[in-house]
Amino acid sequence: MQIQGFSFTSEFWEYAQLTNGGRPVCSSKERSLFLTANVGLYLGNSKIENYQNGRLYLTNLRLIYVPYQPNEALEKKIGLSLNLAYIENVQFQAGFMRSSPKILLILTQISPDLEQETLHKTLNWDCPICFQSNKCDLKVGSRFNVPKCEVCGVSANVDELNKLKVEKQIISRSKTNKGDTNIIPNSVNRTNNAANKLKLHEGRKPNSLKDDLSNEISLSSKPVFCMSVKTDATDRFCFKLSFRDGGARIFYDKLKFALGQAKWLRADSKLQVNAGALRVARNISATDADIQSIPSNVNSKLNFDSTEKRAGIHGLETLTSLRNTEVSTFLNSSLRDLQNLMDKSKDLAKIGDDYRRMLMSSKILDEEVGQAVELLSRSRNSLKLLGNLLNDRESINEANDFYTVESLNLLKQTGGAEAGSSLYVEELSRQLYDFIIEENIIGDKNGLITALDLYCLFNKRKGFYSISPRNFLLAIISLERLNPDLQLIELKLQSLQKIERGTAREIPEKARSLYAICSSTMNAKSISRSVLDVLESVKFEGYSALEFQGMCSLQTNLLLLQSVLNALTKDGVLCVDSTLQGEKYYKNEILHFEAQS
Amino acid sequence: MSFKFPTIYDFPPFFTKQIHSQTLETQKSHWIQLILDYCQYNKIWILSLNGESGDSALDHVDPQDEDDDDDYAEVTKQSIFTNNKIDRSLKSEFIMEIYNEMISKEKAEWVNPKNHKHGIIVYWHTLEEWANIIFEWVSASLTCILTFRLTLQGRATLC
Repeated sequence: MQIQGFSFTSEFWEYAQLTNGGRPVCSSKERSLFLTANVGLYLGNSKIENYQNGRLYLTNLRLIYVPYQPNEALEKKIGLSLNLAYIENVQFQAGFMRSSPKILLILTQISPDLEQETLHKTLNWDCPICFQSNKCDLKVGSRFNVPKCEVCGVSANVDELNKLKVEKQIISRSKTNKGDTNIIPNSVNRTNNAANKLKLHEGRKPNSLKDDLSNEISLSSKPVFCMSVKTDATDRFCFKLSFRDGGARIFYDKLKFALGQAKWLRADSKLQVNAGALRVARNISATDADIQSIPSNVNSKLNFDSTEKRAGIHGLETLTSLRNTEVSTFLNSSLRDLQNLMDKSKDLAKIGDDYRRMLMSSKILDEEVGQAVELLSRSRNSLKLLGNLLNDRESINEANDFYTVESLNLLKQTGGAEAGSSLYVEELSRQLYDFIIEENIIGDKNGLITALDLYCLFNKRKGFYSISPRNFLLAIISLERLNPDLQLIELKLQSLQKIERGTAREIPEKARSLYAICSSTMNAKSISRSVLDVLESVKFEGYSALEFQGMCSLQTNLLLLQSVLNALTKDGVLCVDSTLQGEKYYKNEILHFEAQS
Repeated sequence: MSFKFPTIYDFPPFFTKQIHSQTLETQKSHWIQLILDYCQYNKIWILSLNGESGDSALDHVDPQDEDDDDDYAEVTKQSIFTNNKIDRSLKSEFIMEIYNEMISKEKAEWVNPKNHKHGIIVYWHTLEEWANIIFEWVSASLTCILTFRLTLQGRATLC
């Protein structure tokens, strides 16, 4: 039986990019706050068929829904996002009988003040006195409320403003006519043309739409929601989130908090709060403000009475002088950094010369060596300091880590139930996978890293919050699910000495295996073959694991190589020669000798 | 002309106890055969714990001492279990294992079962083989009555 389906697109929801681990990609200003799993989406009271099971991430800017995919490694990773600015109100609906608890999202019917929308709503005009480019609201340009120049305070010419307004409207109309008819063309007209918001595509099956999704998804397009029943036009502003694994109440509290925070951030960005406050960092680079390196002494030096906006020529002069001072401060700081860099490079060049002389004369003078070492150590510290100054990206990452850790911690606290703890492990696994990919850990570590090393690196990166070894192990076990190119292997590291029966009773059995994560291309069989090829070419000669590793054909991780050698020895393919210098591995001639005799 | 060791004697892993069971069994049988051949060639009847031959190694052992609290004996350079050419020697624990294997196969016997420090008697012929050899020798060449002592010290002794 074929179910007649309906589909629609909503302008509120957008596709969201996900990381390799299936987590949402957050901007530098975005912080992950909470996560819950097994969430279903509803439009009004109707189920959205293709989004009935997924993870819901809450950040300080967006709600991100990541649909469940049975095979994440193969399927395209893409999620849906809803900007918190669209949410006008939220309501909590407790579960009853078989009905799961839900959160009702009532979306705004007035155009939300998002950055891209303000572009359409604002008008740019140039001051006739100071030629400063100013912005004003389209609604503002009346005779009674004339905008003034932000710099010199001179009022705008109303007639000119009206002309600009008409031109802008014509341009925006022509743009919308060219655009996709399924998507609302102009947000200004949203309230008048509400019917345009929801385009129903009748007669299409949900399954076919699913296929379309996986094949033809681009981030600029809008997600398609499939439904089995037709919804009313009034439901288009009401979305419901159904929490089948519980945790709705906590999510609701978090969402309320995030909405409050998002509201404040929007107001702050629109200068509705702290109006007139000087924003040094934003003036430098509005696009990447929080990545800018601002020396700590800048704020203290810029001790001007500039928090008030000053109008007129005097204000213009003050602001110009303020900007000049600001720019000169930055220039000075940059020049100082350059000077430091130059000094350090001179030091390094000097060290290079010293070493060259030492090597050429082949006479090691203790005094010279001492000086060079001292110079080297000083340079190293200075370079480290300089590196820290220049590399502000690290501090951004640390801040992001803090928030991801916070959300993880919250998951752990709330995850008393089994479902919660599995979600915690799953999310930890995703974070771990992102960490491995971002830091290129597998590539840097010769294709293999032990779980212990990864555990230390991960905990170090996460700072004060430590993951327990057990949870970490559970997380790395599920890494393979996210990427089949990674595999968890167990390296047998037990000593080659046999424990006698008598002594075995006295010594408790200890786990002598070691977990490691490596690329799936790192195959024990291929390593074994290479080892045997090497040994075939020589007779009565053996090599240690390190010597094997040094050979071109066997440039692999030492631990894995050692593990393979031990396995081959246990299988009787190789035999071992143990001395105080270490163990050397030979082809098993002992068995062959029996055949000769 | 000195005894010619087999090529396996110059193979370094031959002096390390192997962990693979089949390899270990083969290794022990090689060692037993080597000991028997070596003792036969050099007419060695008693082998000490450290693999030295004859009475010299047993000089320091008190024959009346019946305590057997330690089977450890340092392997010297003169021992059969040391290959100076490749600088390898067997560990005393493994030597004991080989000796026990020999005894279980009736190729050797403790001189004093209560004190292993006296070493082992190596049967490079089993007792039955010896009996047959003596019988054949007596039947073929004995024309007069000889005491046991004279048989051992005679010119035409068996060994």
